[in-house]
Order: sequence, then structure tokens, then C-alpha cells
Amino acid sequence: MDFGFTPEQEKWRQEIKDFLKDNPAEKFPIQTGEDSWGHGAFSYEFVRLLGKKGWISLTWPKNYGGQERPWMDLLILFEELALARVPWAAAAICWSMSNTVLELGSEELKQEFLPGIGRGETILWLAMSEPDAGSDLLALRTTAIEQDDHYLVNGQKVWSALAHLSDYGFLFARTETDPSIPKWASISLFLLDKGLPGVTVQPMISMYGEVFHSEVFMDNVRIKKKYLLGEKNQGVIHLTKTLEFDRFWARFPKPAFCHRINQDLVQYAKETRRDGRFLAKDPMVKHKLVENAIEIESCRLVFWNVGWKIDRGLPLTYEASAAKVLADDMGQRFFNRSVQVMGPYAHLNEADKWASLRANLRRWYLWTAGDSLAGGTSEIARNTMATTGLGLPRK
Amino acid sequence: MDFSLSEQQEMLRKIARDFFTNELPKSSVKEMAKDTRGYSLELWHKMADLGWMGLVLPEEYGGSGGSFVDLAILLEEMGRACLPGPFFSTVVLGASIVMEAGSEVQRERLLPKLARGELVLTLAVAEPYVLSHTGVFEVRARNVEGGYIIDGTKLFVPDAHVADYIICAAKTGRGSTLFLVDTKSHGLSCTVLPAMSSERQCEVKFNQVKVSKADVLGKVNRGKEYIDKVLTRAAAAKCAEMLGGAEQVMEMTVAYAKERVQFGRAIGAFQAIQHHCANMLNDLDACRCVARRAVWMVSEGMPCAREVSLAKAWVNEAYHRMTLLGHEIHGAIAFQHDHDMHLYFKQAKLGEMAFGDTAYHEEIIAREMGL
Repeated sequence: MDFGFTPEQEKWRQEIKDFLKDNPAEKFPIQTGEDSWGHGAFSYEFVRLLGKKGWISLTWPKNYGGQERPWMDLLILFEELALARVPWAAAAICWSMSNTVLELGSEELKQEFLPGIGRGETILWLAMSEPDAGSDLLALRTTAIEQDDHYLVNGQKVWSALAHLSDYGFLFARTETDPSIPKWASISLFLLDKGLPGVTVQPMISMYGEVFHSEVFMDNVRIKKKYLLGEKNQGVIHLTKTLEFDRFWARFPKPAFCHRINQDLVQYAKETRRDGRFLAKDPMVKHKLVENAIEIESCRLVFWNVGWKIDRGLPLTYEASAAKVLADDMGQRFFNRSVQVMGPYAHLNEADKWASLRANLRRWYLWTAGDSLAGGTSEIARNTMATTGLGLPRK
Repeated sequence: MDFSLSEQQEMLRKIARDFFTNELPKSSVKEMAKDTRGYSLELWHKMADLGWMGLVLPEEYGGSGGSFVDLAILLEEMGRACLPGPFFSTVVLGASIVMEAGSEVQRERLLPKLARGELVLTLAVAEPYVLSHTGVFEVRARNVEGGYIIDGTKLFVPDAHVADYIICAAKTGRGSTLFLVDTKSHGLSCTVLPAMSSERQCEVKFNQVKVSKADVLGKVNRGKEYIDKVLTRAAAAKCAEMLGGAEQVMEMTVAYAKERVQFGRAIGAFQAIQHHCANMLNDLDACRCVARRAVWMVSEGMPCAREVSLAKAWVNEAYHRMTLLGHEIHGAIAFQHDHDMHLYFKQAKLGEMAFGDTAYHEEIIAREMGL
């Protein structure tokens, strides 16, 4: 049993801290604002800098430009990026998809995509959900029909996160339309070039007033056969893996991110007078900040436990789904309490030193209405925990 | 980072699991709840023969020099088995304080006997109007010729009715001091308080109880420091015990959800039940992580007030939620005395109140956060 980090890992953490100190969030132009998972805002410039450092390809094999570093190092990097609130959103999503490319891609595809992803120049998005295929993902209707040297793709995706800023979609489409073939054996995975004729990306305005997701329409899009990722009709297996990654890796930064915000709130409470006393002297405010800390820390340890299993190469069954539920539940309570600590001031965007915290608290709070839905609803994740994890019967 | 147990620790766990499965059926846990003594002496001596009382004591005092993590693994199994009796009082509280504060003479006098299972110790902190050592004790020790005279009432003293010595925290001059009080002392009387389960808590009255200078444990007026340390350890240890109980609740509840049939199918096939189970699983996994991290830090001798309090605050609430859901899924049958589920429901609440409830630990966390 050992809950500490090795001296090498501590050194690596310090190296990241030093780098981020020289490269604070303010230095970088952003294309869209922060999400509530701790991926920061979206900035091409910052992600290219990460690429230049060789940190996007940190864990990849050396022959694709990677450093073959252990997963633990990547997890430490995630924590530090989230703590610093730097704009790394583009990289956060690419990490999991680039692993799928590494695992399933042909040599040709790896050579074509990995260098660009590693430099932070090629950005991927996940094109999974459809208007009538949300939780019931296998009901997806987008078709990709094999013809000559290509697949002819028709259909519509929705909730394509950051597609409006990305280059390639990780597209799940139906390659068998015969209804007698089971759904799990009829879906394939493609890399969809956004620039192909027939692709239309229609940004969606979210409830907080900005664009995060897009609808993607595909009208007779011809995807060359070489952009099929993995085997034809084996997409469901990949889909499960991609979701597993998405659920765990996308949320891993969240506890660190919330920890940072809670620290800022503690500082705010110590410096802010309300009704004649410092907020920090109000027992209810104190209670909320402490509850935040307790939940953040429990969540963080569970995530490290899963991360440790991944690093050890131990098999995961329910853990990614569990982590998702834990982090999203925690986040919903966390941002609710945090807004309560700030009170109506949280709604404002004033030009003072707390402006960023205020504007973002409002934003993050609104995000929580979607947190438990993204990456698969928490209900679906609980089903997975109960069946795959605890062995409860499906019927 | 390594979340796993060592091979030896896995072995200890297995030995303990098998031992309690064979030696302590739940029927006997329930019998013990009605017993005057509250535990089986035969079982106690078997545990001593396994070397458990001296598990974490240094070899020179008859122990085996194990780590606090080892002890916690044992406590997890004791929690799972709902072990009644003064193990926690004697080993986690008593032996710990003697090691921490005791002189060489006191250690040699007490610890080898304790390791052999021939000595029961306990710690008296709470009073009718003082719950934790952060308050000012009303039990006083007056300095007299050759020693002290203790007066006052201690409350919720675990296992005092069977203890050989009570380590009593009393107000002295400018602070508090710990005294090793022989339970046979003139003027000491003990009443067992009504119990919720198999726990035995006592009211101990000190009426002009005389102790000698040799019975002062540690430095005079420095009692709070020792209690602070030991209660931090005790809170971490209690988390381990509760974790063991929580694991058992998870297992028995899932097993029942798989076998209980209603509307023509196992209730575990219903999403309402599945989601309850999923919530229990998340609470359990988090309990394991926070409890074991706390235990590990204690074991490593690291400063860990914050981490132990985080763990206890989390486990307090999470174990309560788990046992409530455990009852929900078992349905009415678990409300019956014959069932085992309620042993854990009680264990969760007793554990929550022991060595700091959630509010107490939140106060410590607040302090550590600079609030």
C-alpha cells in the first residue's frame, strides 16, 4: 500500500508546474470558454504548445513520436493542467481518440494522423450521438455504404462536442443495413474529414449562450476506404472502449479542477465581508466549503485508484462508469454549493479580481445540468455498474 | 502509488476472514448483545493466540512489530464480522496510549500482558457535559501528597466494565493529564449504559479515587496532545472497521437482489434496485480509498489530521447511506431480529459517533483549510 508518488513523479509534477507558471491561461487566445470537467477553454495556441513540448504524445510509442511514458505521468499532467485552469480542451478529447487510432489504425492511418495530433494541429471530435440515438446508441441511423473505393455516408450526428473547431470526426455509422443482422455487428468506425463535400457542421447555441456542440449533417459524403478505423462491423466493441476512455479520462481532471476552485473560494471567503463579517466566519459557508473538500478528495482518490489499475494493466469492468457517476454527482453538488457561497454575486461579471471566478461559476453551474448526461447518462452508467460490475441480471 | 495489499497482508486478511467465519456466527454476535460481559472470553484468548493483541506492538513487549496498515486489515475483518468485545479499546486506544505516553516501566508492566490477552484497557474521555477532549474536563485530579485524587464522572467509556485499567483524562492545573486507574481502586464504580447493539459503554464514577505518581501516563498537563494523537489513530482505525462492515453490506445486499424474486424475476433486474446498488458501490469504493489512505498515512507516521478527518467524515455519511439502502433492498425481512443486516445499520451509527462525528471532523478540516 502506498498512496504517495515516487520522487520521479514528483519531479515530473514540478516540471509541469514550472512550465504552466511560465505559460498562464491569460497568455493564450481562446476560441471557446471553459467546460466544467477541468479541460479549460479551447485554444489552438495552447494545444500546439503542448504538442511542441511532446506532451500530447507522452505515452505513445517512440516510432510515432511518443515518449513511451507510463499512464501515471499522463494522469499527473491532467491534474496539473486542470489545477492551472489552462486552455487544453482540444487536447483532452484528442488523447482518448488518439489511443484508439494507435490501437486500431492501419499503419497508413497512424502515419497520416498521429504526427498532426501529436503536434496539436489535428483536432478530433466524437461523432456518436444522433437525434434518435442517445442512450440507445446502437439505434444510430447514419449509414456508410461500401461502394468502389469509398463508403457513401448519409445521416446526422448531434452533440458533436467542439466539432466547429475540430478537423476530423470519430464517426460511428451503420455499415450493414440488413435488419436481420444484429446491431452490434453492423456498426463501423471512420475518421471523417470535416472538409469533405457534403459535410455541414451546424453549431448549436447552448443554454449558457455559447457554442460547445454542433449538429453534423452528412449528405452523400464519400469517405475513402482507408479511413475505416479497425475492422468493418466491429465498431460496437470500439465504441464501448471509446466510451470507457471518455468516461474515465475526460473526468479525471475534475477533482483537481474543483479543488482549485474551492481554494479560490476559501480565499474569497476570507477576504470578503458580507453583512458585517467575513464570509469565512459564517458557519454555513464554512460547512459548504468543507463539504466540497470532502467530496472532492474522495472522488480524487477513487480516480487515482482507477488510474493505478490502468497503469498496472489491470482489467476494468465497471470502474469507468462508476468514476463518471461519482464525478458528475460530485460536480453537481460542488457547483451548487459554490454558487451558494458566493450568493447573487455569482451571477455577475464585475470588473474586479474575482470577475473570472464569478463569471465562470455561473457558467460551470449551468454546465452541471448537462454533466450527468455527457459521455452517457449517469443512469446508463449505473446500469453498467450494476450489471457488468456487480453481476445483477439484465432481465 | 499502490492500492493493493501485500501478499502477507492478503494472508492476514484471509486468516482473519476464515477465523471469524468459523468462530463467530452472527447468531453468537446477537447472543453476546444480551450477555452481561458482552463478548466471549474463549474467542478473546484464541485471538490472543493468533497474536492479534500484540500485532502492532514492538517485539520487545511481546508483539510482532506489525504496521498500522496490518492492524487496519484486521479491523476491516472485525467490522465485517461485527466482533463484540474490547479489542478496539485495548489495542487501538489502550496500547496506543501506553506506547505514546507511557514510561519504559509502564510499557513493560502492561504491554506484554496485553499482548498475551491477559489485560483489558480502555480510555475515558467523554463526560456528562463534555463530549470531546477539545472541551474542558469536569473530572478533576487534585495533586496530593504522593499522587492524585480523581473526582467526577466519565461517560461513554467503552468496555470499562471488563477493563483492568481505565486511562482517564482529567483536568489538572493548566491542562489535562492522563492517569492509569486500576478498576479495582477504592471509590471507582462502573455502570453499563443501555446498548443499541453489542457495544458496551459505561458510566464510570470516580469518587475520591487515589492514584500514585507512578500512574501518571505521560507528562502532566499534556494530556490533550496524547489524546489528539491517539484519537486521530482511533478515527482512522474506526474507518477501517466501518469499511469492513460496508463491504459485507454490499455483498449481502447484491446477493439478496440476485436471489429474491418478485413479479417473476430477481429484484436485481429492476433498474430502481440496480441504481441503489450502483450508488452503494460508489460509496463503498470511495470509503475504501479514503479509509486506506488515512490508515496508510498513520502507518507511515505522516502528519495526517486533515486526511483522517476527511476519511472519517466521508465514511460516516457514506456508510450510513449504504446501510439504509441495504435495508431498502432487503425489504421488511431485514427489520427482523433474525436477520443480520441490522447489525450493520447499528454498527454504522455507532461508528459514526465514535472518535468524532462528521461535524467534529469537518471542524478539523476547516482548520486545516485555513478557515
